[in-house]
Amino acid sequence: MEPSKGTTMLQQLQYTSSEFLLPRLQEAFRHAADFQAVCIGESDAGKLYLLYLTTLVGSDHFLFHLNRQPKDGVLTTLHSYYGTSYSAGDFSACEKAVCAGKTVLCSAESANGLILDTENPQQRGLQQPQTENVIQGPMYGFIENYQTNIGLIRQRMQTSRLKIWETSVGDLTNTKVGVLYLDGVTDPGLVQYTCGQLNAIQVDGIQDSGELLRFMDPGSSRLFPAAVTTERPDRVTASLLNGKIVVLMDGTPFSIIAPGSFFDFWESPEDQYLTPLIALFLRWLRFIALMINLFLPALYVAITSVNIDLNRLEISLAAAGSREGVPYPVWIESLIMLFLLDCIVEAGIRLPRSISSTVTMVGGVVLGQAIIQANIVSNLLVIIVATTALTNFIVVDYQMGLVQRILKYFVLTGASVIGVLGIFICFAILVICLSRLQSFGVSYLTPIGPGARIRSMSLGLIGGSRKFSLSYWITFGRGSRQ
Amino acid sequence: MNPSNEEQKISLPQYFVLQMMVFGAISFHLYPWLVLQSTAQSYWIPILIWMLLGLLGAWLFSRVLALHKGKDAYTIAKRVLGWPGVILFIVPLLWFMWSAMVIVVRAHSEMISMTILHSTPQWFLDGMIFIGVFLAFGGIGSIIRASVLFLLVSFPLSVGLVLLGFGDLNVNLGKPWLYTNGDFLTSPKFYTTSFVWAGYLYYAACGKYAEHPKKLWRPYTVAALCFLPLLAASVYQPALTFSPEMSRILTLPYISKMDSVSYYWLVIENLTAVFIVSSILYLFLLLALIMNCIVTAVRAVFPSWNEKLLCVLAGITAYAAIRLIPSWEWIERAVEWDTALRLYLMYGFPIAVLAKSFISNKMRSRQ
Repeated sequence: MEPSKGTTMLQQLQYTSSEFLLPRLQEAFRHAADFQAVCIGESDAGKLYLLYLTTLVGSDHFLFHLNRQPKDGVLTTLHSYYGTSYSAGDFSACEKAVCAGKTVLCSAESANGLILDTENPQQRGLQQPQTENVIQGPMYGFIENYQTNIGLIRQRMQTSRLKIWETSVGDLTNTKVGVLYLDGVTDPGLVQYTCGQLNAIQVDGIQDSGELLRFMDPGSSRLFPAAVTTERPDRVTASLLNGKIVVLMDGTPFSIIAPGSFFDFWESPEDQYLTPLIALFLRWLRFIALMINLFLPALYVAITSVNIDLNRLEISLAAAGSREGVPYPVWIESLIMLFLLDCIVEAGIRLPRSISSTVTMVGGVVLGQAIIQANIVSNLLVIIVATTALTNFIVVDYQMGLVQRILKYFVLTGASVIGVLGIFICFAILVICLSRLQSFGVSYLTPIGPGARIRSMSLGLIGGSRKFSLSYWITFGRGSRQ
Repeated sequence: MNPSNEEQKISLPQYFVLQMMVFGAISFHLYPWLVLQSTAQSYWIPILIWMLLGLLGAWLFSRVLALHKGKDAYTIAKRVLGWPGVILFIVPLLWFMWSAMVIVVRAHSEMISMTILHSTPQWFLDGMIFIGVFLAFGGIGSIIRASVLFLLVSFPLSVGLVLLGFGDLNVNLGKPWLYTNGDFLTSPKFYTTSFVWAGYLYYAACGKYAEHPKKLWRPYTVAALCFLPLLAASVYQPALTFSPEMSRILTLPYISKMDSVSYYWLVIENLTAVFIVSSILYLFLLLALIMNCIVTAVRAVFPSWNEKLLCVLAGITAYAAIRLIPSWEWIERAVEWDTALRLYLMYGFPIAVLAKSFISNKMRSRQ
């Protein structure tokens, strides 16, 4: 240790209390095999110790000297410390610091210790996002390291107005969580609300941002995701510029963008990088896919079993012809196929990639062909179900895709009971549910109606030029308020 | 807490959306039949007369709401007229709203039963009222948000159906187009048609959220003008398809007209089903709005009563009443019986409140 610096540092150690830090920490980490308390030398105040967890601390932070002792012995002393900062802390702070990969320097009889920044977190390198691929746009995503993720955002947003409020969540896990917002742009009420919600979380531990989101907005829906989660830094910075807040959590590449609106889930980050008309076309494509995914199987059931006269006679006859020999009612037939489809999708996701293609082949082609030949379902239904599966994968957000998978059963039930009217009633119930939802105190149907977020500009379906934006017309002049 | 720090405010265009939904829910079932019954001559004159009277009523009502900005009509009535105001306005309005809810639900369930779901039990269809209760639970904010989405779906469908109805009209059946001898003035059916133009009464509860209550007649006017072509089409299209005489004896002339529309290029053959499903969205919104009015009215007198409980109570009592309605003819009669009460609420009450307020102001200024 450098003498002059060491003296300054060691003066921060306190000896007033009768409760010594070293034995307390040794007691706290008593059966932790990776805990080390290394004597690094002596000062006026007695022996000095370094306390750390070997599994978390990087070896490149300390330089030790081997000094020859008079009686052919060897004395190991700390020669220098390489780190960014240090601070003094009591037992509680030192305990947390050791758990976080830092090193505590203390003397045998000091009541506090010096916390040295020696952590060496395990992390992977920057990679392409796994769930949000784009053709055009930045090709890197967040990783599991909190500091790296903050750095990625800072690189893209080089302004002092980017503020970060940090806390730790989980009594046992002490997971670091940061709330990022743009000063002067983000609603202060929203920041206050989010920080308040984070402070109020009382839980042993949180593993992922999805879990954190549920704790942060407990009043939100049990079905619809309360906010968008993303692993793309460009999407995060765009949202910050749009007045939203971003919550980053250590240990997960997914950040939370809040408040969430139903229409946010249909926007791809890529939409901003394409020409307005193409972005418009893609958004409408996604929206129509949503409609097909939710309502097509139900419509098939309605027009082949309840409202047979709704369609032209030729189409009704063709549908009836394709069902010739099928012993089950239409709704059971549809239910079987949709259930099988969901099984195939789930198997494809969980299995290793090399096997999942085989499962898709077996499930999709072989099972589909066999099930028609066995007269269990009609070939028209196979087309319907294949279209439904295809449209489900167009959804940008994975969570919303899962919601859709569940909702199509709900609409199917409505159609099975009272046909087309049932579909519309289910649609009405869905709209009512959405209209009652709030995300972080803001309407989930933003930019529609009262309680919407003031800075919200787009309905998601119409982007590009504001004058052509549907929200420009339906938010009724509210958008002009800033 | 609302992080956007935004108070609950409803803009005039949002009131317009609400009014459009109200028009959609009450326009297409009884109205064409009543207008066709009210006169044997040009139909546009009774339609237009009531529209202008409706605008006058909306203007009067918005003046009432402007008396105490930020207060609903019930509180204003209580403040201006005292307890007599409660008896003279809140009680009749409660009855009017509740009966309107009963009639409109039964009318729709009858229509559904007659057209697309012949074998579905009536009690099941009448249960639609509870979807309105569910929407009303969310409060006025939720109602408005849902109304915007509902309107985006149902209004284009309504317009599309009207446009499709123009396909096979015979204009010679509509004569006389201009002449009238005023025979409708002696027909009670003419006065019954006022029910379509009483939509501004539903602002009674939500009017307090307006930034400028004095301007509330404007969204009503724009909505009335938007719906006027559809209302006229719902009367004229059956008359110009089946002849006025034939249309007069049809129970649901506009639906019969929908049934007669057929195009070889149109994938959908049963346009009635499309009409029904679009009108069902209007219905849910109207039910929620009425429920909100009823709850606000009761809470103006008993502020401590629970909102959700009142909603459920209103829904259950209305459902029980709906189940007691024996036939479609009874619905027609009920709407006729309600006319006097409706006219009182549309004009009598606002004039009384405004007059009382005017007199009070005069006396105060003299003192």
